[in-house]
Amino acid sequence: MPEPGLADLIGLETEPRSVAYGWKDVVLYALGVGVPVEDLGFLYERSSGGLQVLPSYCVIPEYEAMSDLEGRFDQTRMLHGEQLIRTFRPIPPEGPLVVNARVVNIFDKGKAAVIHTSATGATVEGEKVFETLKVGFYRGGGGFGGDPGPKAEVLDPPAGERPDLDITYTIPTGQAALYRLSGDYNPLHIDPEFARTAGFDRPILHGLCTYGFAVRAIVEGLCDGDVGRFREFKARFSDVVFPGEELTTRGWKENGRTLIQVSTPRGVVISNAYAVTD
Amino acid sequence: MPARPPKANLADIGRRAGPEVFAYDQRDVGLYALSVGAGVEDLGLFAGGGDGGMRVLPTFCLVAMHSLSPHFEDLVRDYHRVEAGEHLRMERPLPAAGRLHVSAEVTDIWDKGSLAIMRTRVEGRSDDGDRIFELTASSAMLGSGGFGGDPGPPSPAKRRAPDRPPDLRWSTTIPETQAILYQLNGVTDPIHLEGEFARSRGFERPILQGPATLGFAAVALVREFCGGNPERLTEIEVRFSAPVVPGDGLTVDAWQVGGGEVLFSASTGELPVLTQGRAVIDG
Repeated sequence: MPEPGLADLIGLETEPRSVAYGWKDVVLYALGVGVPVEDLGFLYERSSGGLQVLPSYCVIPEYEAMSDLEGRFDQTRMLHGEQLIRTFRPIPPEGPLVVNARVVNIFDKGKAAVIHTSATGATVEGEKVFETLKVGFYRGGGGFGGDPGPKAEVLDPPAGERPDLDITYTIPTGQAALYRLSGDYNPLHIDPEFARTAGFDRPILHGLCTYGFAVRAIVEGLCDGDVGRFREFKARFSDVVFPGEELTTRGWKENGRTLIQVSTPRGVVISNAYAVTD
Repeated sequence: MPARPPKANLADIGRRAGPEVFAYDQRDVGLYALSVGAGVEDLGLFAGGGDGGMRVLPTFCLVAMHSLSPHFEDLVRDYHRVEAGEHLRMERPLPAAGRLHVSAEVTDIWDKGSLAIMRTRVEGRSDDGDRIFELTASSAMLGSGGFGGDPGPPSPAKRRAPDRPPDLRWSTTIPETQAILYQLNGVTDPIHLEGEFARSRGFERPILQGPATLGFAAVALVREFCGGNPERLTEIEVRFSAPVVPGDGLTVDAWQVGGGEVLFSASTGELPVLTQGRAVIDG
C-alpha cells in the first residue's frame, strides 16, 4: 500500500548534530571489524604517529545523524541495500564531528520504494571529513506515482581475470557481539530466537560489520595500510554473513578504480561494488 | 617506576580515597563481559535477553575500583606494583546500569622481605548508601620490603583442592586482542600493548590484565555452577601468581566442596596463573 506523503520526505534534512567520540570508540570499532593485534596503529591510542581510524568508522557518526530521519520510516520494512562512503581526509581519532543527514531521493519501484539518504561529517572548523550515501529498500513503499529512478550501473568483476586484491579474513563467532557495542543493538545479530522468527537459522552479522571487514581489506591491499590513500567505497549488500564464516574480498583494477566483490564459501555477499584509492 | 624502588612507607596506612562516582550503562557492562571472555552463549551477560534482562558479573567491581586510580598515581609512579590478589564480596547484585560511590582505605602494609604487600579495602555503595560490594585488593610492591615492618599474619594453610578430578575443567584460548579490549573498560597501561615496554618490565610480550584473567575464571564458574546467573556468585577470591599472555591457552579447574563453596585455579600450560581460588555460590 502506498504510503501517504512519502514523496514529501524528499529533501528532508536534519539539523547539524555534533557527534562526540573518543579513542575508545575508535578502538572498539576497530576490534568490532576484526583488526588484529599486528595492526596496532588502529588499536593503540598512544601508537607512534597517532591512532589510525578506519575510513568506515564514519558509518558510526552517520548512524547517529540518520536516526533523526529513520523515525520517518517503518524500520521493520527497511532493508539496507547499499552503502557508499567517501573520505576527504583521514578521520580524526577524536571528535566531535558535525554531521547532518538528508533524504536525497525516494524512487518508486512499484511494490517497493528505494530511499537514498546521505550524510556529511565535518570538523567543528568546517573542514569536510566524509560523506556517505545509504540506499534503503523499503518494502511496500512503492506505488506512489514517483520517479522510478535510474537503472543501477552494473559493476561485475571481469570474468576469468586474476584479482589485484585477494584477502581472506575469518570472522570470529563472537564478532557480532562485539560490533553491536558500536551502536547497532538490533537483536537479529545476537539473539538466536529473534533470528529464527526473522527467518534465519542463527543470528546474522551486521551488514556494516561485513562492510568494515571489506574496508580493512581495501586499506590493507590497495592502500598499503595508509588510510590517507582511501577515497571511496560503494557496496551492495546481496547476502547475509554469519559470524564464524570466512570472508574473501577481491578487487580488479579498472579505469582508476577497483571493482570489488566480497564472498563467503556460500557465495557473494557484497556485489556491485567499487573502491577508489590513491 | 624507578630502577630501585624505595622501601614501603608505613605512613600510607590509613590513607583514604574517594568516594568517587562510577557511572555505567549497559554498554559498559556488555563490553566488560566480552572483555572477560563471555561468548554468544552468554547472552544475558552482555545483551540482556532471556527472562532476567542483563545481569552483571560481580567482577565488574574491579572496573569500578579504577575510578579511584587518580588517587593512587604516586604509588604507581614510585613503586613497582603488581596485583597480588583480590577478595570480592557482594552484598547485593549490581544493577544493569547506574552509579556506584566507590571509596578505599589502605589497611595494611606488610613486610615480606624483598617485597611489601599493600592491602586496600574498597567498597561501593548505591546512591541510597547501601553497600553493594566490598573488595580487598592486595598488591605486591617488588623490592620495597625489608624495612623491618610487620610481616603480617602467617599465610593461612594453603587451600588444597580435593584429591579428585575437577568438577569443571574449562579451556579456552585468550584472543590476541583481549588485553586491548579489556583496557577499553578504562584501565590503560602500555604493558598490555607495547612489546618494547613489556620487555623493559621483564616480559617477553604484552601481558593480559590480572583482573581480566580473574574475569575469565568468573565466567567459567557462572556458566558451570550458577546456571548462567552471575548474581549467584556472591564471593570470589584469588591470588595472581603469573600473568597470562594474550594468545595463550587458559585452563580453569574447579571443585565443588560443599556449602556452596567452590575452589578453583587457572593455568596456562604448566604455569599456574590463578591460585588459592575460592568462590561462594548462592542458592
